[in-house]
Parts: sequence; structure tokens; C-alpha cells
Amino acid sequence: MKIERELLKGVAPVVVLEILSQGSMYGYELSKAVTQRSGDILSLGRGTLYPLLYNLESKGWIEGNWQDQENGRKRRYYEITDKGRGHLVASKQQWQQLQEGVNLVFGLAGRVVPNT
Amino acid sequence: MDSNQHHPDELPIIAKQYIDSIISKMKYRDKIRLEVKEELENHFIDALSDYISQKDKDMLAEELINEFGDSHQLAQLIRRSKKRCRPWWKKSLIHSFQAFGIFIILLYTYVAWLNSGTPTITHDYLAQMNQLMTPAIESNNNAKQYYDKAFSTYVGLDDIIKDSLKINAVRNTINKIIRFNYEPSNIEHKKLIEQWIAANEDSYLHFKQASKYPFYDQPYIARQNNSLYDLPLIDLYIFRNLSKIASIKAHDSIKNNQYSQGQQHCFIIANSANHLKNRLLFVEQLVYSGMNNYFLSTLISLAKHGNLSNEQIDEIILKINSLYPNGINKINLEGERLIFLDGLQRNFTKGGPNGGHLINTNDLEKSLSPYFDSKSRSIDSILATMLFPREFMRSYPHLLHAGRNETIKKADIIFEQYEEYIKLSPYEYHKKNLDDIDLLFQLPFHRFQFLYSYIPTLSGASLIPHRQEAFLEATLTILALKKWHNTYDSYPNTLNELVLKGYLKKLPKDPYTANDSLKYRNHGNDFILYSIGGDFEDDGGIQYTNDPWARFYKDGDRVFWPTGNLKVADRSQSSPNK
Repeated sequence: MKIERELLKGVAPVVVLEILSQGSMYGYELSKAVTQRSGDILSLGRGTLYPLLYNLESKGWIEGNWQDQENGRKRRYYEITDKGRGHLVASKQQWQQLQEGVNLVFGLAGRVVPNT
Repeated sequence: MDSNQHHPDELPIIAKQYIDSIISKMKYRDKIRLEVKEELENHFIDALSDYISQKDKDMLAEELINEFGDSHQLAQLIRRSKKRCRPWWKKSLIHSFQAFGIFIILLYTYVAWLNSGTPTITHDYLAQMNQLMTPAIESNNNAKQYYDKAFSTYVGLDDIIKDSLKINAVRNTINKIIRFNYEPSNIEHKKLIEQWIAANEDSYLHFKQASKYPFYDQPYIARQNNSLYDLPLIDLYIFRNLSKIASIKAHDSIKNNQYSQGQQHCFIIANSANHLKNRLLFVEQLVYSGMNNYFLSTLISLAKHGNLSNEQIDEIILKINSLYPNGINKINLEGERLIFLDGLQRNFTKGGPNGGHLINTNDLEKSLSPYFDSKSRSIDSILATMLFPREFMRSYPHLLHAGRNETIKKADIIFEQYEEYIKLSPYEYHKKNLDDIDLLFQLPFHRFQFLYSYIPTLSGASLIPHRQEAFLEATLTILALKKWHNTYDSYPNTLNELVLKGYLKKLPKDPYTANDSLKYRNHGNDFILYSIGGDFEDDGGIQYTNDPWARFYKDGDRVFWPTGNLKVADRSQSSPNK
């Protein structure tokens, strides 16, 4: 099941930061990781991937570094920064709260919201 | 996934074209574009590395391209993201340049708009001004022909003396003669003055002839297009200088006991001054004022040395009353108001935002910036002068100037205030704390340069007629006292006695008091008559300066009598409290 683009737009930065928090990656590797780790539910459109990475870089949440390859070419690896980690913690809390709220609305939390 | 074995050259043509298309549409710095290209190529190489057959690679490449989406849109997104990655200082620099560019464009537009307007001239203020000045008179009553001859034959002091320092020194001597019946101790000065007077015999004869006429009708004539700006003035300085010659001649006659001649010369000044009393320009009224001073000073000298009989005194008083039936004219600003209105219609557009805007006209250029050259009014020169704000405002007065409505509003306020000031005596003026106020100078220069150029600064000049009124009344009082002395061989104890016995119509008012008369004391064979002057305190009749009524010399009293041999005290010896 593919997620609506607008929904993905909000979650994509957090997902990328979460994945990069576990180790640096290059673009293609990252896009594969997002798909794999979300069980094919989340998929960053390739057209979204690089603009997203550059945006996160402009905010100082990730940092891109060129590394030489054996074939003489260079590959750009992205890693999360301290500022990015801080943002990730805050975003994850927000997402959890949002998730709880949505679960309550959808009746998935196993409890009823008391009438106030 | 092993990309080591692959090279961008091995990418399917479709992929290479796609990437090239993105990079070319990015329109960004080469370095960044190459980095993005390498990153995208790596992405495709990685994605295709698991496929061996060219057919499969081509198919997957096509799939990837579809996922990446429209190359133009992607190029834009990447470009935008990369821009955000710039360091703050670079962003600030770029934004500053952008802001500057926008400013330039707006400035261009604004300047173009300001330069695009044309004035709407609807009213002939010159005709209105000439109607205001004089009633139509017959040519045989007009002194004009003689004044014209007097002006054309006049020889200036600077035609005789070439050294400017010496000219000033001689002028000072002349002023002392007029003021104090001073006998020049400097023989050279004396000779030069005699030479000047001799050179002007013809001119003076015409001046004398002109003074016999009841009117002087000389309409204002514009230099061009009926514009009231920079009106050619009548030869005011010649008026003033021929009056000085008349005064010197009067003093010479007095010294030679030719009192009747002295009186004649004296009234030549008064009659000529009278010709100027209805002139409408501020500067003309100031010259009228100056000539009145010469007349009254000379007349007091005549009263001092002339041994005038009661009949002669009566004759003089009669003449004075006919020349000044309503006293001294107050400052009349009607002419200056018309000049402002004419300037407004010639220098502002009419209608639109703020009622119209200032435009650059030749008049304005001449008045505001002698260096202004409309041909070089390029944007470069505007920017260059912006480095020097004052010069910028002078050169481009219309850029920051207030609109037509605001300008009229401010001018109305100023003229209204001026009209109020004109009515105030020096005492009332002082009580209202107006001594150091120049209403015009309180307006911001860059917003109201037009008013600075088109409205005169009153700067206390409204007080001059009040002072002259006192001078006139003092002169009449001195003449009445002389007449009293002729009759009783003594002076009265108070001025009231003069009024009670019909020697004087009313007590002479001191404009430096709320409502008191001039100070008078009988000293037996002589008397003292004075105004308390600009310090508003009675100093017992001690005068510290030549002109204690002048705006910036406020010590001491203004002593009308005794004169000539009055010992003027050294100002440095005056009380520090004064």
C-alpha cells in the first residue's frame, strides 16, 4: 500500500533522519532503506529524495560528504548532525502523540475517550 | 549491489539524457551542477548494477525516470534546495543585492513618474500683484521717468573705490554720519565720500525731482512667462544710496547753518521712502524701512543743530503727518503669498496622489542648487549624490518632497503665523517666547525645500515697523519738546504736559513695554528720551551698541535724545546680568 504524497511529505524528513541516525548512507542506499524498513509502505519518490536531502542539509540536520570510491568516482554520504538528532527526538515525540491521537479517533487504542 | 564495475558511460542513453536534461535546467553554479550530476549518475548506476542485459537496464532506467518525474520540475526542486544550502553570509549578500536591485527598479519608476508630470498654469498672479500695488495713475503724476534717469546716471561707491575693505570702511563712516552727525576724522574717507557725492550730482538731481511726485508707478515685470520667481527688482540699492547722499547733504547743510536746505534734503528721503511704502516684495519693504531710518535720524540731527523756529517745527510736523497719516506701514506679505501661489502652480503637478507632486523646473533648479544640471539627471548621478544626502536633496528636491496638498497646508500655517507675528509688538513677541523661533526653519528641509525657496524667513523682521513707529513718535516728541523749549525756555517735567497743551497728539509708545510710553527725563537745559530696548529693562538711558534694537544685541536702552555727542558705553563694561 502506497501512502498519499501529502501524508508522506510530513513524515519523510523524520524517517530519513531516523534511518541516518543509525549510520551514514548515500542517496540510493537511503531510498532502498526507507522502502525496506517500512515494509514497502513508505517509499520516497526518487524525485523527492534528493530535494529532501538538500533541504535537510540546508537546515543543518544532516551533512553530506564526498568519499572516494575504488573506481575513481566519488559518492556522497549523508550523516545526521547533532542538531538533526535534537530535531529527530522532538519530531518523534510529536509523531507518537499524533499517532495516539489518531488511534483514539479511529478507536484503535482499545479505550474510549471520556465525555467532557 | 556493486557499482565499482560500472561507469556513467555505460548508463543507458535515455538515463544519461535525462540526467543531462536535469542538470542543464538547474541553471545554477557549475560546481553544484557537477556534484548533483555525479550523485544522480551514482543513483542510476547503483539501481542498474543488478541487471546485466542492456534491455533490462533500459527498461529499469525508464522506470526510474518515471519515478524521478518531470526533469524540469525536479531541476527546479533541486535548485531551490541547493540555494537553501548557501551559508548565511552568502544568503545575506544575495538578498542585499536583490533588495538593492528592487530599490533601483522602484527608484527608476518613481523618478520616471516624478519627472513625467507637467504643471498646470491657470492664474496670472503677476497681473494680480500689479493690481494690488498701485491704483492706476496718470503719467504726469508718476515719478518713474526721474527715477529711471537717477538709476541710469548713478555712480556706485565701488566705481570710485576698488578696494573692497576700504569700501566697507567708508560705508561705516557714512552710516555714522547719518546716525550721529559724525564728522569724519579720516581725511581720505572724507575725500572719497565727497568724490562719490560729486560723481552723483546728476543722479541726485533726478532723485530729488522724482521725490516731488506723489506716486511712483513701476509695475513688476517678469523675466519670462509671467513667472513671479526671481522678479527683477527696481534698483533698491540705488534708492538706498541716494537717500544716504541726501542725508549727508542734509548734515552738511546743517553744519553750514543752511537749515532750510537741510530740511529739503531730509524730506527728499522721506518722499522717496513713501514711494516704496506700497511695494509688495519683502525686500522692498525692508528698504522702505531703512530709508525711514535715514530720514528720522537726519531729522533729529536737524532738530538738534537747526535752532528751528516754532513755525519751522510746525511745518515739519505737518509734512510728517501727511507722509505718515497712519504711521509706519506694517510688513505686508500679500506679494510673497502670491509669489508662493505662482511658484506652486509652476512647480507642482495638479491632481493625483497628495494633490500633485513637485517637478523639477528651471526656477526650482536655480533656486535650490546652482550646480544642478537637468541634462545629467541620470540614475548614476542620482546614486552618486545619494552618498551625500544634503547634496542629493538639493539636486533632486522632488524625490523626497511633500506633495502639493501638504505643501499648501504648511504654507498656509506659516503665512497665518506670520500674519499673527506682524501684529505683535516686540514686547508681545518676547512674552510669547518667539524671539528665537524661525517658523520656516522648523520644517524638514528635504520635505519642504520648495517653501524654503519661495517663502521669506521673517526672523523678527515683523518687529521693524513697530520699532520705526516708536522712532517716528520719538521724533515727533523731540520736535514737540523743541517747540515747548522755544516757548517756555525750559523743558516740561513730563510728556503728559506736551499732550495736555496740544504740542503732541498722544504719548509716544515704547513697543518694548506692555503699554508704557518712552522714557523721558528733564535735565534742565536738556532732556533724555529713550526706549528700554531689547533687554526689556530700564537701564537709565544708557546705550551700549549702535543698534540696541537689533535682534542679537539686547543690552541697554535705545536713546533717541541726546544724540550725536552721546557717549556710547563699552558693552564689555555692562553688567554681566544683562
